[in-house]
Amino acid sequence: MKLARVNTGLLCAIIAINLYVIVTPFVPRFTFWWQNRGQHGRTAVLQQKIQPSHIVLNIPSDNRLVVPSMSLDQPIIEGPTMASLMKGPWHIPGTSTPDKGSNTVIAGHRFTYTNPRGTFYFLDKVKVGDDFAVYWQHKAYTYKVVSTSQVPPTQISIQNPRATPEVTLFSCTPLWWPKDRLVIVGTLENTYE
Amino acid sequence: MSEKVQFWVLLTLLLVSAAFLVFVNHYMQNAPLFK
Repeated sequence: MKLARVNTGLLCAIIAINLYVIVTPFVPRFTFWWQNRGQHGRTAVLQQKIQPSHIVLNIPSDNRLVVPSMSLDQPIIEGPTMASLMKGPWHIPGTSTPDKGSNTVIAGHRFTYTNPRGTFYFLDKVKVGDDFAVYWQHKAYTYKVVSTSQVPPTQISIQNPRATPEVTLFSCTPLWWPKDRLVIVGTLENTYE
Repeated sequence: MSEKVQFWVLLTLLLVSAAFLVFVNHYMQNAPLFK
Protein backbone atom coordinates (compact mmCIF):
# COMPACT_ATOMS: atom_id res chain seq x y z
CA MET A 1 0.00 0.00 0.00
CA LYS A 2 2.83 2.37 0.95
CA LEU A 3 4.75 1.44 -2.18
CA ALA A 4 1.66 2.19 -4.29
CA ARG A 5 1.68 5.75 -2.95
CA VAL A 6 5.39 6.11 -3.68
CA ASN A 7 4.75 4.86 -7.21
CA THR A 8 2.02 7.46 -7.68
CA GLY A 9 4.43 10.17 -6.48
CA LEU A 10 7.13 8.96 -8.87
CA LEU A 11 4.66 8.97 -11.76
CA CYS A 12 3.63 12.54 -10.95
CA ALA A 13 7.30 13.62 -10.80
CA ILE A 14 8.01 11.97 -14.18
CA ILE A 15 5.02 13.73 -15.75
CA ALA A 16 6.04 17.09 -14.21
CA ILE A 17 9.65 16.89 -15.43
CA ASN A 18 8.64 15.88 -18.95
CA LEU A 19 5.95 18.56 -19.13
CA TYR A 20 8.59 21.11 -18.08
CA VAL A 21 10.96 19.91 -20.81
CA ILE A 22 8.23 20.04 -23.45
CA VAL A 23 6.33 23.18 -22.42
CA THR A 24 9.14 25.56 -21.34
CA PRO A 25 10.48 26.11 -24.89
CA PHE A 26 7.06 27.52 -25.82
CA VAL A 27 6.82 29.92 -22.87
CA PRO A 28 8.57 32.81 -24.72
CA ARG A 29 6.14 32.30 -27.64
CA PHE A 30 3.19 32.58 -25.28
CA THR A 31 4.72 35.62 -23.55
CA PHE A 32 5.27 37.29 -26.95
CA TRP A 33 1.69 36.64 -27.98
CA TRP A 34 0.38 37.84 -24.62
CA GLN A 35 2.43 41.05 -24.69
CA ASN A 36 1.47 41.85 -28.29
CA ARG A 37 -2.25 41.20 -28.22
CA GLY A 38 -4.33 44.24 -29.13
CA GLN A 39 -3.24 47.38 -30.92
CA HIS A 40 -0.84 48.72 -28.32
CA GLY A 41 1.31 45.67 -27.83
CA ARG A 42 4.88 45.70 -26.61
CA THR A 43 6.33 45.66 -30.15
CA ALA A 44 4.33 48.78 -31.08
CA VAL A 45 5.37 50.49 -27.85
CA LEU A 46 9.05 49.71 -28.47
CA GLN A 47 8.72 50.89 -32.09
CA GLN A 48 7.36 54.17 -30.75
CA LYS A 49 10.17 54.30 -28.20
CA ILE A 50 12.88 54.43 -30.88
CA GLN A 51 11.19 57.17 -32.94
CA PRO A 52 13.25 60.41 -33.07
CA SER A 53 10.61 62.45 -31.23
CA HIS A 54 10.65 60.05 -28.30
CA ILE A 55 14.23 58.90 -28.29
CA VAL A 56 15.84 62.32 -27.66
CA LEU A 57 13.76 62.82 -24.52
CA ASN A 58 14.20 59.37 -23.06
CA ILE A 59 17.79 58.21 -23.27
CA PRO A 60 18.31 55.76 -20.40
CA SER A 61 21.35 55.95 -18.15
CA ASP A 62 22.36 52.35 -18.81
CA ASN A 63 23.53 50.72 -22.03
CA ARG A 64 20.52 49.05 -23.66
CA LEU A 65 19.51 47.19 -26.78
CA VAL A 66 16.00 47.82 -28.09
CA VAL A 67 14.78 45.67 -30.98
CA PRO A 68 11.02 46.20 -31.46
CA SER A 69 10.52 43.38 -33.97
CA MET A 70 11.63 40.80 -31.42
CA SER A 71 10.05 42.63 -28.49
CA LEU A 72 13.43 43.10 -26.82
CA ASP A 73 14.41 45.91 -24.46
CA GLN A 74 17.24 44.81 -22.19
CA PRO A 75 20.47 46.15 -20.70
CA ILE A 76 23.62 45.23 -22.61
CA ILE A 77 25.88 43.07 -20.48
CA GLU A 78 29.63 43.61 -20.43
CA GLY A 79 31.84 40.79 -19.24
CA PRO A 80 34.99 38.88 -20.12
CA THR A 81 33.47 35.41 -20.49
CA MET A 82 30.50 33.66 -22.07
CA ALA A 83 28.97 33.38 -18.60
CA SER A 84 27.67 36.92 -19.17
CA LEU A 85 25.26 35.48 -21.73
CA MET A 86 23.21 34.19 -18.80
CA LYS A 87 22.43 37.79 -17.85
CA GLY A 88 21.18 39.05 -21.22
CA PRO A 89 22.54 40.47 -24.51
CA TRP A 90 26.33 40.28 -24.25
CA HIS A 91 28.65 42.79 -25.90
CA ILE A 92 31.47 40.61 -27.20
CA PRO A 93 34.73 41.87 -25.65
CA GLY A 94 37.24 43.18 -28.17
CA THR A 95 34.62 44.28 -30.67
CA SER A 96 33.82 47.93 -31.20
CA THR A 97 31.25 50.04 -29.40
CA PRO A 98 28.60 52.28 -31.02
CA ASP A 99 30.51 55.46 -30.19
CA LYS A 100 33.62 54.18 -32.00
CA GLY A 101 31.92 53.09 -35.24
CA SER A 102 33.10 49.88 -36.92
CA ASN A 103 31.45 46.61 -35.87
CA THR A 104 29.75 46.32 -32.48
CA VAL A 105 28.91 42.68 -31.89
CA ILE A 106 26.20 41.57 -29.47
CA ALA A 107 25.29 37.93 -28.83
CA GLY A 108 22.41 36.39 -26.94
CA HIS A 109 21.17 32.96 -26.00
CA ARG A 110 18.40 31.74 -28.30
CA PHE A 111 16.84 29.58 -25.64
CA THR A 112 17.80 28.19 -22.24
CA TYR A 113 15.71 26.35 -19.67
CA THR A 114 16.83 28.72 -16.92
CA ASN A 115 16.73 32.51 -17.06
CA PRO A 116 17.17 34.56 -19.19
CA ARG A 117 15.32 31.75 -21.09
CA GLY A 118 15.28 33.40 -24.52
CA THR A 119 17.20 36.65 -24.94
CA PHE A 120 17.33 36.37 -28.74
CA TYR A 121 14.52 33.79 -29.01
CA PHE A 122 12.78 35.87 -31.69
CA LEU A 123 15.90 36.91 -33.62
CA ASP A 124 14.37 35.21 -36.67
CA LYS A 125 11.53 37.75 -36.57
CA VAL A 126 13.98 40.56 -37.39
CA LYS A 127 13.82 41.29 -41.11
CA VAL A 128 15.75 43.52 -43.52
CA GLY A 129 14.48 47.10 -43.19
CA ASP A 130 13.56 46.81 -39.48
CA ASP A 131 14.88 49.45 -37.10
CA PHE A 132 16.52 48.93 -33.75
CA ALA A 133 18.37 51.10 -31.26
CA VAL A 134 21.40 50.85 -29.03
CA TYR A 135 21.69 53.19 -26.07
CA TRP A 136 25.33 53.57 -25.26
CA GLN A 137 26.84 55.89 -22.65
CA HIS A 138 24.00 58.41 -22.65
CA LYS A 139 23.68 58.52 -26.43
CA ALA A 140 21.20 56.74 -28.67
CA TYR A 141 22.14 55.08 -31.95
CA THR A 142 19.49 53.82 -34.35
CA TYR A 143 20.24 51.17 -36.94
CA LYS A 144 18.47 49.72 -39.96
CA VAL A 145 18.80 46.02 -40.64
CA VAL A 146 20.57 45.50 -43.97
CA SER A 147 21.17 41.77 -43.91
CA THR A 148 20.18 38.55 -42.21
CA SER A 149 22.14 35.36 -42.74
CA GLN A 150 22.82 31.93 -41.38
CA VAL A 151 26.48 30.98 -40.99
CA PRO A 152 28.39 28.06 -39.49
CA PRO A 153 29.93 28.66 -36.05
CA THR A 154 33.36 28.55 -37.66
CA GLN A 155 32.68 31.81 -39.50
CA ILE A 156 34.22 34.20 -36.99
CA SER A 157 34.57 36.85 -39.70
CA ILE A 158 31.15 38.18 -38.63
CA GLN A 159 33.06 39.85 -35.78
CA ASN A 160 35.60 41.55 -38.03
CA PRO A 161 35.96 45.35 -37.92
CA ARG A 162 34.12 47.19 -40.71
CA ALA A 163 34.59 50.49 -42.49
CA THR A 164 31.04 51.61 -41.70
CA PRO A 165 29.41 51.84 -38.25
CA GLU A 166 27.43 48.65 -37.79
CA VAL A 167 25.91 46.45 -35.13
CA THR A 168 25.96 42.68 -35.54
CA LEU A 169 23.47 40.65 -33.52
CA PHE A 170 23.79 36.90 -33.51
CA SER A 171 22.48 33.81 -31.82
CA CYS A 172 22.16 30.09 -32.34
CA THR A 173 19.92 28.66 -35.03
CA PRO A 174 17.80 26.59 -35.48
CA LEU A 175 15.90 27.38 -32.34
CA TRP A 176 16.17 23.95 -30.71
CA TRP A 177 19.60 22.96 -31.91
CA PRO A 178 22.59 25.33 -31.82
CA LYS A 179 24.03 24.05 -35.12
CA ASP A 180 24.55 27.38 -36.90
CA ARG A 181 24.50 31.08 -36.09
CA LEU A 182 21.78 33.50 -37.20
CA VAL A 183 23.39 36.86 -37.95
CA ILE A 184 21.62 40.21 -38.21
CA VAL A 185 23.58 43.23 -39.40
CA GLY A 186 22.32 46.80 -38.98
CA THR A 187 23.95 49.95 -40.28
CA LEU A 188 23.88 53.23 -38.40
CA GLU A 189 21.02 55.56 -39.31
CA ASN A 190 21.09 58.30 -36.69
CA THR A 191 22.75 59.35 -33.48
CA TYR A 192 20.95 61.22 -30.70
CA GLU A 193 22.26 62.80 -27.53
CA MET B 1 3.22 -6.19 -12.62
CA SER B 2 4.06 -6.22 -8.94
CA GLU B 3 4.37 -2.94 -7.05
CA LYS B 4 8.04 -3.56 -6.50
CA VAL B 5 8.71 -3.88 -10.24
CA GLN B 6 6.58 -0.79 -10.92
CA PHE B 7 8.67 1.12 -8.40
CA TRP B 8 11.96 0.28 -10.09
CA VAL B 9 10.58 1.02 -13.56
CA LEU B 10 9.22 4.40 -12.43
CA LEU B 11 12.42 5.27 -10.54
CA THR B 12 14.47 4.51 -13.65
CA LEU B 13 12.16 6.64 -15.81
CA LEU B 14 12.41 9.49 -13.29
CA LEU B 15 16.19 9.39 -13.31
CA VAL B 16 16.29 9.25 -17.13
CA SER B 17 13.88 12.22 -17.34
CA ALA B 18 15.91 14.25 -14.84
CA ALA B 19 19.16 13.40 -16.65
CA PHE B 20 17.61 14.46 -19.97
CA LEU B 21 16.52 17.81 -18.49
CA VAL B 22 20.01 18.43 -17.10
CA PHE B 23 21.56 17.47 -20.45
CA VAL B 24 19.39 19.71 -22.65
CA ASN B 25 19.78 22.62 -20.24
CA HIS B 26 23.55 22.22 -20.14
CA TYR B 27 23.74 21.80 -23.92
CA MET B 28 21.68 24.92 -24.61
CA GLN B 29 23.72 27.02 -22.20
CA ASN B 30 27.15 25.83 -23.17
CA ALA B 31 27.14 25.54 -26.95
CA PRO B 32 30.28 27.38 -28.03
CA LEU B 33 29.64 30.65 -29.83
CA PHE B 34 32.44 29.85 -32.26
CA LYS B 35 34.28 26.63 -32.90
